[in-house]
Amino acid sequence: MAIDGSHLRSSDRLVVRLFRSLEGGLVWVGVVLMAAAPALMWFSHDDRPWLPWVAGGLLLVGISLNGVVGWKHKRLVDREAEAKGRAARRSNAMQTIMVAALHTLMHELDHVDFTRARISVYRHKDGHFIRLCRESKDLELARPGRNRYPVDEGLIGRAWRSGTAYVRDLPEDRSEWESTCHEDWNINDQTVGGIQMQSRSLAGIRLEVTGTNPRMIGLLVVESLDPRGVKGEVMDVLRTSTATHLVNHVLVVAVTCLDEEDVDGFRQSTEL
Amino acid sequence: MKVRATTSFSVESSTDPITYDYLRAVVTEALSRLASEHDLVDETSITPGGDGGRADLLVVELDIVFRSDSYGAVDDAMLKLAQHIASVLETEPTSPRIASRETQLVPA
Repeated sequence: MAIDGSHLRSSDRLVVRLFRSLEGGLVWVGVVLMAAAPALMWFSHDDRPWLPWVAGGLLLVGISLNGVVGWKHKRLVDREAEAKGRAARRSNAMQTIMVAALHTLMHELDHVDFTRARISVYRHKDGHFIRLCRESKDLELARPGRNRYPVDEGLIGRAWRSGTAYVRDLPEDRSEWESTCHEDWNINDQTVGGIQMQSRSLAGIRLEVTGTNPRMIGLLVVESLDPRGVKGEVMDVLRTSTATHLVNHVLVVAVTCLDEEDVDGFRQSTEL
Repeated sequence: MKVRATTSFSVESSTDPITYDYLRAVVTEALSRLASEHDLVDETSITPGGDGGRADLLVVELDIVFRSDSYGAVDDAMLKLAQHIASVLETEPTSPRIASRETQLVPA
């Protein structure tokens, strides 16, 4: 079984790297020694009475080396499986808290009809946004959508730059809506055509790490199919709700404390 | 906190179109009512929007900055502004069609 090593501690990763470089060699040394033992026995004579002992010694060393390699390999495989399990549990725990916080926000935004609206959390990574979590009472609206979102397009781009952004009364006509998205909101022409949800009112707020090393890490966005489904007061709730702070906090922990693989697992688990 | 609100209105009339100056006067009056009820920063602008060369379609763009702690209050104020402008223009004998276009709120 191959060892990935990405879920292990850094000290274990070093062992894995050493193990990978030595593994083949040690196994072959063991095999050669075990093969050499009978050959040495064959050539043993009275004038070389120590040869059987050497042969026996080589056989023992060969068997031991293969045994050690096999044992070490199994131990690392087990340890990695445990680490992956821990990462999955951490991701699931984070996801559970995030989803609970989003449901609390949906409850607080009781004037928003979430059968026609959705709420999403995006993480900023490598110059793009990646959706981490999305909730709606309509399963179709809760579907994942695009893999990556450019930082300079649409309401998310504007909220990212200014901290908050809100728009309502976007056009009902699909072609008018597409040209508005393209011309006023800088969304790539080809991308606009592929957007499934024709959101006509949206509110977004930036999520940030505060303290000594402040930085922007993501966005929280509410969007509705209705022109006034998301009203201005949604912004007030998003800015002041403890549920928003919880979402922000979970994202901070996910981004700053978890390994990349854990955060990726977090995202994947929300797509189940 | 300052909130910048931008929006636009289009006025369409097939016969005897109203003039931009008249539309601007109606909007200015509506803005003075708005200013009496809300704390506005003196940065308001009224500009003609693109009409695609159509004589029967006027577009006016508004850029208003509020001093307010509430996006909800600003949004309500913008809705009332749109309703007021529409109610004045709808009294015109030519019954122009008034459409309120997208409204945006961002920090100023």
